Amino acid sequence: MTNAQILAACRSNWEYRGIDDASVREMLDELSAHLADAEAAGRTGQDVIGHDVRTFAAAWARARSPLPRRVLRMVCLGAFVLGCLLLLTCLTRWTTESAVTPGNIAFWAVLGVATVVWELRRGSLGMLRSWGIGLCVALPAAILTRRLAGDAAVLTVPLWAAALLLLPGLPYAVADVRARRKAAA
Amino acid sequence: MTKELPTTGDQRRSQLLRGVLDLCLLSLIAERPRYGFEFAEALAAGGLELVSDGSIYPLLARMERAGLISSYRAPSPSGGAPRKYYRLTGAGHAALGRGRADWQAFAGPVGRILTTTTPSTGENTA
Repeated sequence: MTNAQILAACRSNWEYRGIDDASVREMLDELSAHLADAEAAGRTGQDVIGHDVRTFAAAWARARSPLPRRVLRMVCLGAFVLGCLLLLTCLTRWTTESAVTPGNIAFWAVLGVATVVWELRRGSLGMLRSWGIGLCVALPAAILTRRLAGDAAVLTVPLWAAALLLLPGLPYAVADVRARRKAAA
Repeated sequence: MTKELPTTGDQRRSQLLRGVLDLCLLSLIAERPRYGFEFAEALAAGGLELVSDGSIYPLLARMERAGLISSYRAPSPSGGAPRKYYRLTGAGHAALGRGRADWQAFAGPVGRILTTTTPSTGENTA
């Protein structure tokens, strides 16, 4: 495993374990400097992280931030993503409510799980490739679910629910954007 | 290249090190502020080879959360990107003092038992 692959795997692991963006950058900077120093001293990436990059990343994430805080962040950001989807659906269809079908649920659930599992195991692939792989798995799942369960709406979600879903994750999303801007500056 | 499976001796050494690694890190930081790679180098120079250098980071994060150490970014003397240095807090100084006393109270008796007892020959003397 190259140093770049180690850093990519750690980044994905920490992001999906609910570590905030500023902390992820700080940890990556620290690890990257250590890997470069170790390489200059004739040591390998494996000497630094051990045999399993995921075990190493998970141990550091657990030590960095307690589980309840990380779970809260992930739940709020998950709701934020759902809120964005709902808002986008209502805006594109120019309607005040959105009908959720079994196919919709299967599509987004499989897309989310496939993306998270892949990135946790292999590291980030970048937005386009990640969506490509996710779609390859999620589209057949959605089509199959539609054939099996039909296309009737399971529930109808009003537009105002988007605000409820967006609100809890908003502070986290704003903090992450600020951290990205600060890092870029 | 794969490493050999750890022997019983290596496992014991690893477990012993795990129990005192936090004290070793606190002691190294008490000497002067240090960054990640410097800990690994100092431990190796002191004869303590870690299974993986990175195992210090979860420990450093835990100690920082506990308020025993604090961190700041500063340029490295060797050049390159700024490094994250760790320094001891007041609570860290107190924890190090207690840890040293605990270690001496523990290592002294263990050392005495291990060095003063003589192994039996295994023969029945009755």
